[in-house]
Amino acid sequence: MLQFLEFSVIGVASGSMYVLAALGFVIIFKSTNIFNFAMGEMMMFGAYLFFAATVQLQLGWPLGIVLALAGSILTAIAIERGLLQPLLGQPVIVLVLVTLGVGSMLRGIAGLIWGPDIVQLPDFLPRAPIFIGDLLVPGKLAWGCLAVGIIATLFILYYRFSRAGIAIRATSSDQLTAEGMGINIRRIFTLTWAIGGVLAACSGIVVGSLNGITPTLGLVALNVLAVVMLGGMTSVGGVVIAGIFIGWVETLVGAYLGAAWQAFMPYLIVLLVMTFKPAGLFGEQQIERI
Amino acid sequence: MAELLEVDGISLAFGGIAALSGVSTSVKQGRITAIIGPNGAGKTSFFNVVSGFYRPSAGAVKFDGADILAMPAHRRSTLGIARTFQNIALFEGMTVLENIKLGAHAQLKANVFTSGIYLGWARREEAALTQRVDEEVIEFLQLGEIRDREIAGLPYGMQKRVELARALVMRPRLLLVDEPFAGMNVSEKVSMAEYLRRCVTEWGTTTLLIDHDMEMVMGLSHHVAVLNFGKLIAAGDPETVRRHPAVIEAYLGAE
Repeated sequence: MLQFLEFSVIGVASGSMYVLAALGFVIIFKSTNIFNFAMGEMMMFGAYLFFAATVQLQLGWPLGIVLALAGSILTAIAIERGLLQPLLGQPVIVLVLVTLGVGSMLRGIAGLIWGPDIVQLPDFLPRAPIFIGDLLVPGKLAWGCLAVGIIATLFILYYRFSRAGIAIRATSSDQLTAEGMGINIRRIFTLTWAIGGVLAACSGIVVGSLNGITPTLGLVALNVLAVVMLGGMTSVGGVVIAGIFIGWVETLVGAYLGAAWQAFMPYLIVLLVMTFKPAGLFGEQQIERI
Repeated sequence: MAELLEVDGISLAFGGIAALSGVSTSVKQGRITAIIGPNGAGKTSFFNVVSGFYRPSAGAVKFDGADILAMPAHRRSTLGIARTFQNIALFEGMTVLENIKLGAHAQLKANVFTSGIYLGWARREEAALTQRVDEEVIEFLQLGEIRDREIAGLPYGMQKRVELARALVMRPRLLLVDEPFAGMNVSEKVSMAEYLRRCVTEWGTTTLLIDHDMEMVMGLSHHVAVLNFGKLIAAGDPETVRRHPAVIEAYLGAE
């Protein structure tokens, strides 16, 4: 029983690692209808920027985080303004494929600059394990989970209550009407990409500081994909729950059934859910009015 | 009386179908002007040209003497052009108050980047806006009871009224109302007409409206323009238009 609880806590904590990237997916999808396949690579790239600032330039981790976030925002804005906005009006599938290409490019660029081998980020999260009663939680994981919790909360407050958040929600609800209200929807697109960049970099730094980073770190985004589908593509609250749930299932399956099961279990769950609830657990049913 | 909106010879086509061909009309300051016509006559297309969603292939649109044809839709609302939509276009999942406040979005000084930080002055601006919404439009349109309810589940007539409130909150100079009476019962129609009339008499809001309902439109408007198959077939005061042979033919068919 104690072991089960311990695995559960670890699972929930590692599930939280998916949450930020998944929120990034959702906010970009909600405002622009583009499924951003480059999300994982934006994560990876943000983590490498942090690596460059802290390890290579020796700037210390607070400044490193600031620089990594700024770099990630600029990358996201460059992708959106430079590649996607000129293509607005094309079928969405074209834009989605562009993000897939951008992902490969970022992976290639990171490989060229930093090489293919795994590198370690500086230890800015405390290592000492945390005890909850008799439960032992690895220190980095616990602090990482806390960081994710804080960032996700800030994001949700921003999205729910700020004027900009309301403008984003209006745009995602009805672009034409939003424009009629005086909302510059192109600027909203750029803003959501910038937010996606911030979330990606935060997520990359936290995940990377647990296990180190390689140019293929972004492939973890495939699991994030499962999270997004399960939560519902448009539900901010849904992906938080789904992320934690998938992390929990993965850890338990890995612990009791072995790694081979762990790899496909999330997808099996997603498949089952999608069969019965195509919009995801918390997704909005889009009803077209004529 | 001065012309607030002048539309001169606009044409708009979708593929081979001419939605509007050479339509000219104008809207006088402080008056209610109506555009009527059968289904598919081009009324909503006309609105979409004025609010900037469609770009006509020919013609000019002037607002207060300035050409606005090249101006994107979101900038036109800062000029003071507000509209409601034929199929209610409220943001579901938000409350009545949030929806109405979005109508004033264009006037808020905090832009999408700075407002995220939500510092003191952005907060004060929000509070001032909420107060203004409460005092001006919520009271005027009697929406107090549903102020904090979500849009989904509100009765149709009520949603129409919320949409009007959202358009009014920016104190528009030109109010475009797309089918305010569609789908309403008689008492809802009468109260909607009363609200629109008071917009003009009490607030001085110049209004341009579209509807099918001849009786309501004739009773409410100072000036009526009639569209049929994308062409202007008659214009004038309600009595003249009502007796115009082309209008009778368009509505009742040729005798």
